[in-house]
Amino acid sequence: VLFVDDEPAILAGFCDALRKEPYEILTATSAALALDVLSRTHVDVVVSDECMPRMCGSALLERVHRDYPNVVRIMLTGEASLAASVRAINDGLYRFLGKPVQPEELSRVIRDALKMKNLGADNAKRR
Amino acid sequence: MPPPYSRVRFSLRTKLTATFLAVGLVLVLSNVLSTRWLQGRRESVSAERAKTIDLAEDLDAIANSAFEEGFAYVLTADLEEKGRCLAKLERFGVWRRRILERVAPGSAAAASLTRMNEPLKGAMSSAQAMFDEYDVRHRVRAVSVERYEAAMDELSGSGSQLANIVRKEAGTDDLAARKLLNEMLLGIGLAAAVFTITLGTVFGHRLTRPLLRLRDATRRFGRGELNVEFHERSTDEFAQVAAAFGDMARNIGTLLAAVEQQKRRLEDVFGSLGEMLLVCGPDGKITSANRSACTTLGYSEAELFGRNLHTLFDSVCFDDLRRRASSAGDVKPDATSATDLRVVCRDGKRLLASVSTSELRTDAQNSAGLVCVVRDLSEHRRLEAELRQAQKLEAIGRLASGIAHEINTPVQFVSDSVHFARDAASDLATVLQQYRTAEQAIGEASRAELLAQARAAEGHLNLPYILERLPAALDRSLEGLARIATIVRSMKVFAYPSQDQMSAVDLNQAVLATLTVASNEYKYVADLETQLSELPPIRCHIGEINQAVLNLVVNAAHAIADKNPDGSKGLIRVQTRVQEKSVVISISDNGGGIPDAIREQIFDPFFTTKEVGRGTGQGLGVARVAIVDKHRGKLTFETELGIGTTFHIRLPIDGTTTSLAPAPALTVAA
Repeated sequence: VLFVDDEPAILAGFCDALRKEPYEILTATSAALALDVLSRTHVDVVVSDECMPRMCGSALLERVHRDYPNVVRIMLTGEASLAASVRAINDGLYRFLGKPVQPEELSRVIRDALKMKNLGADNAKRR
Repeated sequence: MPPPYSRVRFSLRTKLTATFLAVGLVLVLSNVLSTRWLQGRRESVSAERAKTIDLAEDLDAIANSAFEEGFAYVLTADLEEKGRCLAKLERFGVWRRRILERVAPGSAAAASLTRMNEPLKGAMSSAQAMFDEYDVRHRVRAVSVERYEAAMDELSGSGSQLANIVRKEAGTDDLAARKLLNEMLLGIGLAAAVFTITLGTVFGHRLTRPLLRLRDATRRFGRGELNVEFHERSTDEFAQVAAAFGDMARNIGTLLAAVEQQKRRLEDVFGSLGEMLLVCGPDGKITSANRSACTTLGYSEAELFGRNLHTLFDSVCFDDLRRRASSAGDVKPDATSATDLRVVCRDGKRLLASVSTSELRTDAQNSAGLVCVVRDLSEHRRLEAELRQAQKLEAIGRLASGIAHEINTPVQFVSDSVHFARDAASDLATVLQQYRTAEQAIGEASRAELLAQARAAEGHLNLPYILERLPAALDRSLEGLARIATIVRSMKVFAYPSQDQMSAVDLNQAVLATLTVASNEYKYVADLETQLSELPPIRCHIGEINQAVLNLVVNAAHAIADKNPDGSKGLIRVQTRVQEKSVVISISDNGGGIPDAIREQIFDPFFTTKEVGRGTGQGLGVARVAIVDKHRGKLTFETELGIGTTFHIRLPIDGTTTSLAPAPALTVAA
């Protein structure tokens, strides 16, 4: 699971809060670094902040959608505006989360995302 | 068009001329007549007197001839002589009586004639006696002759004597005549005077009656009876005067009515003015005030009159007002100067008001006093304050989502870290419990086994990770909480409720607060660099300065974002420094600069180059109003295309201010 946020403290918080979760946590402090990580490592879920310098979260996730269609995308933003939500849903995002999010909820959402992804992969295999 | 005056039938001149002619004619006529009458009278008197004198002289001749004839008879015995003598004596008596008839009784002539009586009788008797003697004896006694001679002597002198007396009387008669003449002339004069007075009275009465009527009419007119009807029946110039007066009265009445109407109109206008209007004389005493002034200030009109104008204003003297008016007049002859002053109401309440003072100019005097238009600004100010507050709320609203993000970020990681800390605590407790159990169980089981169990728990719970990360997580939490606190405090500083009064504040603190609040507006496009020098406290409306700084910072962020569509970060530099009794806040960006063509327009309200929703065109205008109009500061800029723009806010340092208004303390990591 790759977390993208321009605020290192946020990323550190996620690492600590989710340390007992059964998946590896990767972090990137910008969209460019995230794409770099994606190009090198297999990632199942991307959780991205919206507001970041240079490339914003939605642009990053759009690119992820294009380049890595199998990656489940979750948007985590402090500005939960209606326009952003609508756009997110139309883009086929898995979830749209507003900051601040409780660690329990975040871990549940990520687990669900992973389950769904595995289910989808199983279905694909079965077919 | 004057109405046709009645024709003058007998003009005053004619009347006067006729009167004087009549009086003159009467005088001349009476004089002439009386003189002529006197002349005639004098002539007849002197003719009479001449005859009397002739007669008197005849007496002498008669007496002489009678004397001679008497003696002739004695000498000649001629009887004829005797008869003639007696006849002459007889005639003397007749003459005497005739003269006596002519002379005035009681006069000297009459007395003289009376005195003749005795000698005449003596002469008659002595002549008779002498003749008798002679008839008898042809002898005459000497005694008789002597008696006769003496009597005749006396008689013969008496005639001339009488003539003399009469002549003498003629002299006195002349005197008397002259006296009479004088008396007559006096009488005539008196009569003429009486006549003239009577005529004059009658004429004068006729003359003055219309005059008096005119006088009364004029008095009534003077007392304000403008509709004086004035009819004159006479036919002379008075009719014309009366008609002219009537015209004049009517015209003045019409004019006055027009003036009155004009005056009432002006009064209505002044009375209906919402502004207070106060006029004072050159001495500063109020001479008029409109209704609005009376009701707003709570004075009656009578109370305002004669009051000194400047006493209505808080801490202003009359010279201040006059100077203000005249300084306005220097620039432009009819200009007024408006200033905000506090007006003192009757109940001591003070109202903020805009006061326009101008010189009262009349034709005669350049400065006949002052005209003050006072507009109550309290409502205006209240609305303004509300509007300011609304604008601020709007700005805060605009910033709110950014601020929410700013706050949510630390909330997110604080919450995560605290969760981790809680977890870690329970994990540590678990491990500790394991060790305790091991300690208690020492001796019962094998020591190595227990320790292995504890170590396994330690490893299972990843104790090294916890020990490594826990302090950092707690530090992070504290830092996040500090960030939240800073943002909240900055918001409080930024949204400091605006006050009418300026207060002394630390501008650096305010600038930092504004930058903190606005950070979400710029932090994704630009790095922020602050160089804040130590500043003296500045008296200002800090809310407005904050707003201006905010607008400039947002503009800078927009300029950088527009220049770097790729999202690369620019630099915003905020500097504060003291320069020549001013505090300067400079906000620089390395955006695209301002094109020449629009440099003139950027401060105009509603001028904007931004798309709808990003800018309203108010930012720089609001900033300029706040800095230039409210603080007598300056707002300037330097710009170079492609390099960037720097805005400078200059605020004068008020030397009198030293105390700092209490403002929430701020510490911001720059």
